[in-house]
Amino acid sequence: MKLTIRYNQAIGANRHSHEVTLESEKLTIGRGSDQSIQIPDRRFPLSHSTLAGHKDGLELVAEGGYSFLWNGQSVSRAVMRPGDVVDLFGHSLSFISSDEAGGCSIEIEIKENNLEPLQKRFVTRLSELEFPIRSVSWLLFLTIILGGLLVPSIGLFVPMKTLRDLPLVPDDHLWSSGDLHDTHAFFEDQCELCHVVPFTQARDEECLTCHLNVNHHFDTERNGKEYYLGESCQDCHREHNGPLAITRQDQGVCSTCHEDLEAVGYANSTLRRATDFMEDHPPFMVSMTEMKDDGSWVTKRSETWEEGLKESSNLTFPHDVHMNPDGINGESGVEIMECSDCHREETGGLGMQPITMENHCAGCHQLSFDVTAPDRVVPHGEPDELIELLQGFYAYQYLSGGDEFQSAPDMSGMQVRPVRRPGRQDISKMPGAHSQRDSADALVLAADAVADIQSRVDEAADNLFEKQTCNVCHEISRLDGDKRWQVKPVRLTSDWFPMAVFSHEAHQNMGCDGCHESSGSGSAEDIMMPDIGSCRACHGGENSEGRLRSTCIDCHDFHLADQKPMGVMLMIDEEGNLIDQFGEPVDEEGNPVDSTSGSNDKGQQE
Amino acid sequence: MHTSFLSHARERYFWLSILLGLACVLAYLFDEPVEPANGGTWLGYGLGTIGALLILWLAYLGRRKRDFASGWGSVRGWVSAHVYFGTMLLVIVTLHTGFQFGANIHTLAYLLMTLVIISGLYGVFAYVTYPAARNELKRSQNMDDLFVLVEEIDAQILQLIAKVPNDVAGVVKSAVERTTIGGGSLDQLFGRDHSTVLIDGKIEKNSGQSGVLEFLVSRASLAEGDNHRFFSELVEAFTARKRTLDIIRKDISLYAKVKVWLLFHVPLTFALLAALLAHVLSVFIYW
Repeated sequence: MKLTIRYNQAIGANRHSHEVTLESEKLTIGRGSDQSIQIPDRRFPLSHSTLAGHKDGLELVAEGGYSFLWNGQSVSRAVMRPGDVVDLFGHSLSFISSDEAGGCSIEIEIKENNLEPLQKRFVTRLSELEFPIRSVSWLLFLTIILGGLLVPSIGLFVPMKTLRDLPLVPDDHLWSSGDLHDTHAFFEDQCELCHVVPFTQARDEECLTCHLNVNHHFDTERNGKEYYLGESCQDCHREHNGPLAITRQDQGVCSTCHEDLEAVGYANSTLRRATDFMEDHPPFMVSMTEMKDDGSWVTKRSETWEEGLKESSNLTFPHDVHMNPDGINGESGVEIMECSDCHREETGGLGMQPITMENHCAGCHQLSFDVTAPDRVVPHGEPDELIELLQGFYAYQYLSGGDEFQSAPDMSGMQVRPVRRPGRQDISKMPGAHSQRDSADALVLAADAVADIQSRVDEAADNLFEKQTCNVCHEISRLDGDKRWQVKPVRLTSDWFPMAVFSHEAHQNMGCDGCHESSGSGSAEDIMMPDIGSCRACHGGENSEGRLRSTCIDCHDFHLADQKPMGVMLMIDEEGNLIDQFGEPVDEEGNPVDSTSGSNDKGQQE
Repeated sequence: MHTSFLSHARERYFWLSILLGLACVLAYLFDEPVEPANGGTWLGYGLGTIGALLILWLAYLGRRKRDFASGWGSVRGWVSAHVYFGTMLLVIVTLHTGFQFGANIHTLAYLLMTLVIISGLYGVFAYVTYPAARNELKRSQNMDDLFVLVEEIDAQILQLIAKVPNDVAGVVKSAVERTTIGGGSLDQLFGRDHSTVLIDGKIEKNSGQSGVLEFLVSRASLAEGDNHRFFSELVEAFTARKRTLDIIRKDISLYAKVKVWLLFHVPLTFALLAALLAHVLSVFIYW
C-alpha cells in the first residue's frame, strides 16, 4: 500500500504543510518517534492505532483500549472511505482519495495549540516517570513481615505440623540462626522441640528429654541440684554454631569454681586449685591398689613425687631384665622384648589391656616342676589345686612304673578289693576268689605307695613353689605344719590416673619411654607413671605459646560417671506412686519427695 | 564558601564513626567468647543493639530531611553523619554476625543492609562526581537554554528546507520531528537516542542525527552551485543540533545517575526495616 500523507500545521500566524509518502502494508500512528505517522502531541499515546489497506478503503484500528471519533461516532475500529474524517485527540485525519493502483492519500491536521515547547515534549527526568517508590517500599516491607515474621509466628498458636503442611509456608530454616551440631541435625527442621516457651532460652527440660542419663558433676545429695554456678545446659553447650561446635572448650568453664572451691562453698573438698594446665595445675597423683593386712584391696592416691613411693602389687618383675637391649632367653632363643609384647591398648585407645600370666608370661615362664619331666607343666592356679595335680601325676607315674618308680612292688599276688556291681555276681564268692589275708597285704602295699608318691610330690612342690617356678614372680610363704604354701595375691593397677582421660592411641607418635622410664627399673615396685612436667613438655594451658593449647576438658570429663543422672525418668511403682529410675519417690516434675511425709508414701510406712 | 556534606564540621562525623568502628573492632578482637563468635554472645548482643539503633536512626533521615522546621542540626550535618555512620554500620554488623551466614531471615537482613549501604555509597559517589560533571558539560548554560538553542536551530533548518528539493525537505522535517530526548529510565540513564528519520517512505534510525547527516552528505555531493551551499548549511545546522542534543542527553544521563540510586535505597531500606524486625523478634521468640 502506498500512502501519501499531507500534514497541515499552524505555527503562530503561519501555516505549514508538507507531504510525505509511505509504502507499507501497515502503518502505525502515535507520538513515538518509531511510528509511521507521528502526531507531535504530548497527550497523544506513544502508540495509538494502525492503518492498513482494506478492499473498501483503509482500516483504522485503535490499540490498547483507545478509541477515536469516526465521522462523529466513537469507535475503536473503522473502515474509512474517501471523505471520512477521524478525530484523534483533536487532530483530524481525513481520507482524501484512493486510486486504482491501491494508492491512498490522507490529510492530517495537527492542531496548533498542542505543539508544546521542545523541552516539554520529552520526559527528561526520572521523577517524571513516577516510579511507585512508596508502594514498592511498603510492598517489600509487608512481604518480608508476612513471610519472615507473621506466618512463622502462627506456629506459636496452632500445631507446627498443621502450619508446615500448608503450601508456600517457609520451612524452619528461615528462622535458624545457624546450623545445628551434627548430633542434633536430624531435628533441625523442628524448632519447637527445643524452643518451647517463646522469649525464653531453650530449657534444660528439653535437653534432658533425650539426655536423661547424663551425669551431674557433683554430688547432688550433698550439694543440691543448683550447686553448680551455671544454671543451664546452655552455659556450656551452645547450639546453632555449626556442625562441630557445641561444647565450651575454654578452661574458664572449670576455673570458675576450681580456682577456689572453698569460696564457692565446697570447703571440705580434697581437690586442689587448678586454673591453667601450664601455670596453675597441681602435680599429678597416682591411684594404686594396695593390699591391706586383712587381705582386702584398697585404692590409695599418692603424690607422684612422694618419697619412697612404691607400688605394692605383690608381683616380682624386673623391667630391666626383660627389656635388656641384648635380649633375653625366650621360647625360641634370645629375644629382644618390646613394651607392646605385654602392654597393648584396648580397642578405642583409652585404657590398656590387662596383663595376664597366660597371655603374657607363660610363653617363657613354663610352670614345670620336675627336672626329669621338663615338658610337664602345671596350670597357673591355686597351690592346693596344683598339689592335687602333682599327686595325680606322680600316682600315675607310680602305677605305670615310670622311670621314677623302678622298684614298683610286684602286684601279682595282690588281692583286689571286693567290688560288687549291681546285677552281677559277687566276684569274691566266685571260684578262685581272693581271701581275707590277701587284702591285709594289699593295704600295706598301698600305704607304701602313698608314702612313696607323697615324697615325690613334696619334692616337686618344693621345687615348684620355693625354688624354681612360682617364687620367680610371686611372694611365697609356707604355712605352719602341713606342707602348704600361700602365694601372696597379685593385683596390678589398671588405671593410674582415674580422674583424667588419656588416650594412648592419640599419642602414638611418641615412644613409650617418652613418658615411662622402664629401662633402669629392677623392681615391679617402681612407679613409672609420668609427672605433670612430662605432659607439659608438649601441652600448655589455654593461652600457651609454643605448646599445644590444652584446656581442662581435653583430659577431664565434666559429667562424672559416679554421680547421679541429670534427667529423671518418671515411672509408677506397683502402688501407683511416682518414682524415678532408682525407685526413689518423686513429684510430677521429677523432684525428690521426702519419703517420711506426704501422701505418696503411706504404703511404705505401713 | 561551599562545604560538601563529606567535610561538614571539619569531618567531625568521619572521625566519630571511625572511633565507633575502631572500638567495635577492638572489642571483637579482644573478646574471648566461650563459643564461636556469633550474634548471640554478649558482645554479639551489644554490637547487634548498636547496629539496630544505627539503622533506625539512619532511616530517620528520610523523615528528618523533610522536616524543614526542625532546629535539630542542619540537614547537611545529618547527611554527613548519615553517610559516615551508615558506612561504618557495615563493619559493626559484620562483626555482629561473627561471620556466620546462612539461608535465613537473619542473613537476609544483613544482605538487605549491605545493598542499602552499597546503594548509598553509590549515591555519595554520584553526588560528589556528577553535579561537577554536569557543570563542566553545560558550562554556564542551563537545560532551558540548551532546549531553546535546539529550537532555534530547528527554526533555521525549517527556513533552509524551503530552498532544497521537496523530498529532501521531507526527510529533514521528519528528522526534526522524529527526534527524541530522554524517555524511559534506561533511556535517560544511558542517554539512549531513539530518534528516527523518514527516508524514501521508510523509517530509518537517526541516532546522533547520523541518518539525516549521511543522507544530506550523500545528496550534497550530487548538488551543484547554490544548491550545494544550502546542503552545506543544512549539514552545519544538523551538526550543531547534534552537538547540543548530545549535551542534553549527557546531562539527562548524569542527572538520572545522580537520582537513580534513591529508587533502590528507599525501598530496600523499608525491606531492611522489615527484615530487621523479623530478625530481632525471631531470635528472641526462639531464644
